[in-house]
Amino acid sequence: MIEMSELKCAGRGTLASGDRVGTGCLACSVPAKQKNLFAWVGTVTATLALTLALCAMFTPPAHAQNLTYIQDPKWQAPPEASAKVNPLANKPQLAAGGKKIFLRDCAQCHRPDGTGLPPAANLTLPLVQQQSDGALFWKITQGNTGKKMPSFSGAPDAQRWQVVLFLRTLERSARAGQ
Amino acid sequence: MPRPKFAFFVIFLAIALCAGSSIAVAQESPYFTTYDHHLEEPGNLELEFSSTSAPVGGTRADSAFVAPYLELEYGVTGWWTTELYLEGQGRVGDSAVFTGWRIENRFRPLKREHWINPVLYFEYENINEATRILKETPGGPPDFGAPNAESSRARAHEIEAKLILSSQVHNWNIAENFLAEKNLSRSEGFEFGYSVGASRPLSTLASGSDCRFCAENMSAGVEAYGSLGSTVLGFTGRGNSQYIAPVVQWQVSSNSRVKFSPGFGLNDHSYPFLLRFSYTYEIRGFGRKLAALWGGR
Repeated sequence: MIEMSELKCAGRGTLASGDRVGTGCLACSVPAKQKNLFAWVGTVTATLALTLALCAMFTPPAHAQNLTYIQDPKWQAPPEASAKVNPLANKPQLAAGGKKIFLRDCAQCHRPDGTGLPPAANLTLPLVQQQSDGALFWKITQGNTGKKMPSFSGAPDAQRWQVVLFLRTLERSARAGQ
Repeated sequence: MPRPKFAFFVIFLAIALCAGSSIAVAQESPYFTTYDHHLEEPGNLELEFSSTSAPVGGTRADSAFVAPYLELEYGVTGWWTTELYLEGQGRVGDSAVFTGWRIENRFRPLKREHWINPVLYFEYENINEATRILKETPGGPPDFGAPNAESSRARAHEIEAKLILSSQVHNWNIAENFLAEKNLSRSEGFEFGYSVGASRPLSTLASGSDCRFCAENMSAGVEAYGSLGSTVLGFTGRGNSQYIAPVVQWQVSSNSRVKFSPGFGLNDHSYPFLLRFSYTYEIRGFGRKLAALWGGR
C-alpha cells in the first residue's frame, strides 16, 4: 500500500491527502502521457540491454590462440599440387591484397594474426609454414569441409595465391613477436 | 508509444554495428535462380532481402507486381546448408498478400573439389497461387489473370528436388540446375525446370587498400531459367516460361552485398521484363556465438 498526499488521476479528479491507494489502482490511474513515457523508457532500456547482449555476442573473444593444433592426417595435398609454384612469388607487394582477403574471409576462425581460434589451424606454426606454397594453395582451394574449413575455390586463383603470399608474412611476424 | 518497427530497426542496426568487425562475405555468385556448389560456411547466418518485380504485367492481362521475400540461410556443416524463405506479393490495382514459406536443404555429397561438383537440393513449399517470387519456373506459366483474393486462397503444398552441378573453370563459375516439383495439394503431375548460369569476378587481383567501388568487388554473369514441361502438360515446350537475365553483384562491404538482375521473357508465356534486386547481410560465426551466449562451446 502506498500513502500519497496528492495524485492527479486521469479523468478521476484528485485524490485527497491521506487517501490510501492500492498499487493496482496506481497503475490504472497513471495519466496517458506518463504511460507513454514508461513505455518509451522500457523500450529504450530493453533495446539497450539487447544491444549490449548482441555486442557481447558478436565481439570476437580475445583469448586462446590454438597452441594444440594437430593437422588432419587425411588432409594432405597431392604431390602435383604441392609442387606448384606461386606465380606471384616475385611480387611481394601483392601480399597486402592477400592480407585484406585474409582479414575478410579467414580471420574469423584463424584470427587476424593467424594464431587460430581452436579448432582452426594456427598458421604461424612450423607445421603449417613448412608446407609448400602449392600445398597451402591446394588447402585453401579444396577446404576440409568435414573439419569446418570451407572451400574457397570460388575466389579467383590470383587472390588465393595472394593469400598464400600473406601467410608467409605471418611466420615472420610471429618470429618478430617472440 | 514507440512502434515495434522502430525497435526492430534499432536491433537490426545494433547487430550490424556490433557484428561489422567480425563477419565477412566470402565467395558468392551473383545468381538469383541458379545455385552453385558453394554452400554457406559452417555457422554463418545469411539474411537476404530480395524482391522480384514486373514493372509491366504479363501479356495475359496480369498487372505489375512486386514480390518481396526474406531468406535466412544457415550453414549447418560444411556439407549441409538450410534455408527458410518468407514471401509476399503486391500487385498494382490489387492487394498485397503473404504468399507463404519454403524450407530448403542443400547437401554436398563430395568433400573435395572436382571438375563437376554435384549438390543435392530438397525443398518443401507451403505457398499459395499468388506467389510471384519466381525462384524457379517449372511446369506451365502462372495463372496470370487471377486476382490476389482468389489466388491466395489456393494453397499449394509442394516438394521439389534439384540436381545442382557446378564447376570452377579458371575464374569462371558455371552452374547447371535441373529440378522436379510435385504439388501435393492437387494432381498436376511432376513439373520440370532448369536454370543455368555463368559468372566471374570483374577483377582477379585484390588491391592492398580498402576500396568500395573497385572492380574486385564486382562480379557479373548471365543466367537462363525456365520450364521443361510436366507429365500432365507434356514436354513439347509449348506454354512454358523461359527467361534470360544478366546478373551483377557488388560487394558493398566485408559483410554485405547487393545483387541486381533485369530478366527478359523469351516467349508469350513469360513476363516480358522482370527486375530482381537483393541485399544480403552475412553474420559469420553466428552459431558459435549463439552457443556461447547460452553457455555452450
